[in-house]
Amino acid sequence: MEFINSHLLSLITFIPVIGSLFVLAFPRDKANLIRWSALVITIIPLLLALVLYAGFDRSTAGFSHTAGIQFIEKYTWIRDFNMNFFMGVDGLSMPMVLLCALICPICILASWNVERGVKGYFFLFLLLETGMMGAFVALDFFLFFIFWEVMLLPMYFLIGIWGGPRREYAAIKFFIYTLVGSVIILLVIIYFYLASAPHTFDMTELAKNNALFGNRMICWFALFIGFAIKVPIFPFHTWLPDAHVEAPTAISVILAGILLKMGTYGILRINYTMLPDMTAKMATFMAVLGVINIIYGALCAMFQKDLKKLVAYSSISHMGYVILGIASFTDEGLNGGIFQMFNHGVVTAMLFLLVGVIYDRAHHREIDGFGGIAPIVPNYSFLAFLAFFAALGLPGLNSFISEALVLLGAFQKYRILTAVAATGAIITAAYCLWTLQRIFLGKLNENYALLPDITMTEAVTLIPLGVIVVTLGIYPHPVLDLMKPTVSFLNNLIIHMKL
Amino acid sequence: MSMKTFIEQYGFMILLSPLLGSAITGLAGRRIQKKYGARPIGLIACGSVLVSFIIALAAFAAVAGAREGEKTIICIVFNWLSVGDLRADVSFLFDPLSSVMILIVTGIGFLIHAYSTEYMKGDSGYYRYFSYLNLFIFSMLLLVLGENLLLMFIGWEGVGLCSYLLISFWFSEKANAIAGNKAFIVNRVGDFGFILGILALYSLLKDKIFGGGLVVPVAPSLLSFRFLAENVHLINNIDIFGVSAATVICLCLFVGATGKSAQIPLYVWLPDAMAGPTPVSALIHAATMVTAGIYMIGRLNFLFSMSGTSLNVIATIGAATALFAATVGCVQNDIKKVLAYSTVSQLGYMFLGMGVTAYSSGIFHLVTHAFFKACLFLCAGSIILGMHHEQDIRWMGGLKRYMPKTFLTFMIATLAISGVPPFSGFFSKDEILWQAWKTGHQGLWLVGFMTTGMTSFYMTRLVMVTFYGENRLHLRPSTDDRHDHDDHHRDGVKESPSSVTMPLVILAFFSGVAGFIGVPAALGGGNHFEHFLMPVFGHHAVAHHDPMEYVLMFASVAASLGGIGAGVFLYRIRPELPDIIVSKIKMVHRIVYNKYFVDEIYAFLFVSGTMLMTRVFASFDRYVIDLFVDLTAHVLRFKSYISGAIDRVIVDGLVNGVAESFLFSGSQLRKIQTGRIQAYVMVLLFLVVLGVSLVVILKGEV
Repeated sequence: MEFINSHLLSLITFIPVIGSLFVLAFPRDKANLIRWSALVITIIPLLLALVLYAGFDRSTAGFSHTAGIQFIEKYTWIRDFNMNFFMGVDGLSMPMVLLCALICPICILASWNVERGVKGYFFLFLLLETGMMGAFVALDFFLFFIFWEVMLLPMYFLIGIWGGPRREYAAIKFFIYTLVGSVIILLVIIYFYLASAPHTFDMTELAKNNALFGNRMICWFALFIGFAIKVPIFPFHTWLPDAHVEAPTAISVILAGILLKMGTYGILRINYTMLPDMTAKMATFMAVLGVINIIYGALCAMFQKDLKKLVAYSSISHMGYVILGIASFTDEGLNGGIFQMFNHGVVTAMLFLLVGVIYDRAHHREIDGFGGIAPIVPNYSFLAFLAFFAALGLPGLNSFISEALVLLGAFQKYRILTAVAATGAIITAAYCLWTLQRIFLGKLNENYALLPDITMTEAVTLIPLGVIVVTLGIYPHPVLDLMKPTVSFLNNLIIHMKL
Repeated sequence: MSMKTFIEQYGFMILLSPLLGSAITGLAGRRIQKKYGARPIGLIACGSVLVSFIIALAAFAAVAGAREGEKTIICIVFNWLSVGDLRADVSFLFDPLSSVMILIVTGIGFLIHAYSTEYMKGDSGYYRYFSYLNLFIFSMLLLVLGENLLLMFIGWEGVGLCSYLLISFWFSEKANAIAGNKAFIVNRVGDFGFILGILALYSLLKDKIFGGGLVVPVAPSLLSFRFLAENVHLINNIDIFGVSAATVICLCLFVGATGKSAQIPLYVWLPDAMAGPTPVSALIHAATMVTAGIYMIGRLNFLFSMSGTSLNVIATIGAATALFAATVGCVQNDIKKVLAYSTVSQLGYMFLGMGVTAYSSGIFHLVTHAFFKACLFLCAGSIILGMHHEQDIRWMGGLKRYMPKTFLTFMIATLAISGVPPFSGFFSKDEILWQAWKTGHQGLWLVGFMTTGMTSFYMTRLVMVTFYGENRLHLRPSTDDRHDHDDHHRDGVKESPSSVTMPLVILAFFSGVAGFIGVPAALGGGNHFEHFLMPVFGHHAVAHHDPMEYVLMFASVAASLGGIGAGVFLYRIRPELPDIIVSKIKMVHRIVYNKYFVDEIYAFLFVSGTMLMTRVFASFDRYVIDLFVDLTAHVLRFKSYISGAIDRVIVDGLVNGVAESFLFSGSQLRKIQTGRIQAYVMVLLFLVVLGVSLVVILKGEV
């Protein structure tokens, strides 16, 4: 027990990869064995994440002093280069770890019907989870980069091999963007390492001694672009719709639910703490991009005929709120932005799962190809309405709180921009309702008169997310309270730069 | 336990009860309905609202019984949000204003629930209907009782959701689903204004209160109504873009009100909302939800009173809407459409009242209107039941004979809305008109005066065409399927059962007498209603008797009687005349009949405009941004062919061998072009090598 408590983060991070080796050892034809063991392997980190959550101290925070970081594990790794195995969580990474631990088992369940190359699929999936968890908890810059790459490689294969008809195009697009992003981030990491004295990859040290870095504007932009590709921020977003359309359901869920947050997480963790002065200077720039994302994403979503593409563009729109919120440097905006990361993860996961459910049955995703199916599949319809209403920010559901906080925060700094952003809510309502109407309402399309309602497995993936959507909308404290001290710390860092 | 402590501690039960009802009927209703039939669902739904009504009575008693100056009861449930300087509790405010509102909401709500058990009988979505209806009662109570603006906004959007769900209740008809969308989206446009108002109010107040570096141990709830009432004067001297902040905020909030309360320019959704079941039209689209905008202004009267400009805008829009909608109402043939435009028009009166700072008169009209308009709609529902789902008044006629109870109650409500003394509408409408005149808005008074005549005219027309003359159901052209199906019912027009007529009688009774709670001093009354609301709206200057008040009163009674006379003459005595008049002014009639083509103009400007924009943006995305990406991809692919030779030597052994033996059958791996995977791994290796060598070479030199 003592061991578990003191190594929570490494256990959460490495159990999936260790488990993946077991999966490799299983015979190829025992598909069910592989599935069940993958499920068990992903449930263990979820349980450990709940232990982590319970033990997380909500009152302290801070980044450049280690006191605010909890569950620290630090070992010397490569002494010559001063690389450490350094992990820890604070209010920024805690919600992300929770989200990741939650989404992964759900995705395993959603992958139950993968028949082709089962072993390879689950092996790569588990490897992916390690990469994502590691990237969220790593506090050594080099370790962070390794996890960052470990996370991208399986993603590439999962889209490229198990994807839809145009998977090659989607995979190479993903590949190019990813590559560019990784290269520039790596260069900045090395530059920071060399500029620090003594040379270090320790993020907390780098943040503390960031005054040593030169070429700050170039570094800021390099990092920002590297992370912006992941968010994705306009105009680096076009890989996303393609990747989503081609990716299998569970991988879309991971992509939108967790991977996109890696981008905003990186901006907050690295741009904010290591180049706070540049961040303060570029605040308006970020806010403008955030607003463009909101409006541009929503308008593009409205035009889509493919349901999955529509949800993909809606992700771009919703991630815009995160950018706008964190660019406001107010408590409301920053908390709202980070909370929006979590909420969007839950809501978009639900949406992609719902798309997968209907695709499995109808073998197409044309919005206009359905019609009037609500009475045929009442349970499915209920969940779909819930998810879409959460996406359009209905008060009482979780996204409303985060979006309202973002607007309340951003309006204090950018009145016109925020007013423009608020029109996004109208467009979002329009495309969400229009979509629901075309699929579920109206005259029944007789082709789908015998459409089966959701199965038990699908219900198990969707209902927990639905419960979270409602619960956090009424009582947001369980997640919102995690981040507050860290947010104040980050915020002070930037505000003091402005003075 | 005194009544007051009961409300302080358990007041939230009033919301919890319909919420639970909604959850039960929504989540388990389908199973219950299949197993035990519709009855238990109706019982649960009605019971939950009855509980709310009883608590509302208790709350009213507690407020009324409290001493002067203590007429505000707060029920705090839990802390909802607490971020930075933002604090918002889930807490409920019971005061004279909200206690009147919750009586209306739960009282009329209960009657309409009871009525619906009959009206919706046999509908397969029975459980769904009651779940939505209960959810509506919950949301409306949240809107009314919420102690801060954010909570009010949740209720505000919540009622919008229920409205959407109920308008498109019979969704297999595409038009109904589209009407639901329209209602929600138009309301979202209004909510955009509402949100901006909240944002501006919050940021300015926050700046004023915390801007000076003031540190307070517990952040005050900036958006709570009690806090606002005391501190809103702080924003008095601030300008936004050269306009006073109060004006900007009030106008933004008013945009929200025009959406929810169907005023120009956002009224367009309400007539379409008649696609929903008729009891829904009565409850949501006449008696309660659409009055939310008026309630909001009443709740924030201290803020609106700070901006004379915004009050003038509100009064003008209100009067203009009242007249505009009345003209359209005069020529419609669908009984529900006439009532819908009538609602828009009456809401205009209420805004006129609010705009001339006669807040309690506006709320008074809200109350009387709730009774008589709910009554009218429920009568219409009864007629529609009796007529086997026919709504076109051209095929009605002579119903007086078949449906005596419906006729009688409809008459009472008609007299009330027409402003014939001593029915309720007379007192409330006259109060508004008098206040408009007294505060120097003679022009607006004239508009209101004209509307009075028009109102009684179109209502009389409705009565004459529907209840008098011969039944014309057999003249109806049966074109579409639904009508053919109903053919065998044609002779069976009959009065509705008592669960339908009982609510009618109760509502008609109140339509008749509710005016006596606010008899003005000029007629020897004490105006108890205004007095009761004084803790909220403050004291008006003591009214001294003004002979003008009697003159105006006489004028408006004359106008309403004139309207009735004209209606009787045109549609009873000389029924051939309307057609002749119409043929004389064909053009005008066409424009008014088509509602001034506002829907078509909006469709062209906003709907087509948005669709065009989405097309432009999506094309830009596809063809401009992606072009660049694709080009890069081609270059890269070409490169990977060149380096193919090297790749095969190194990477085949390194990756493919391992991967193939462990992971996949070889063919699968080859399906995704090996060249690209190799390229990827190559680049990764290259990156690591580059990184490490840079570190080694440059270490110590920077």
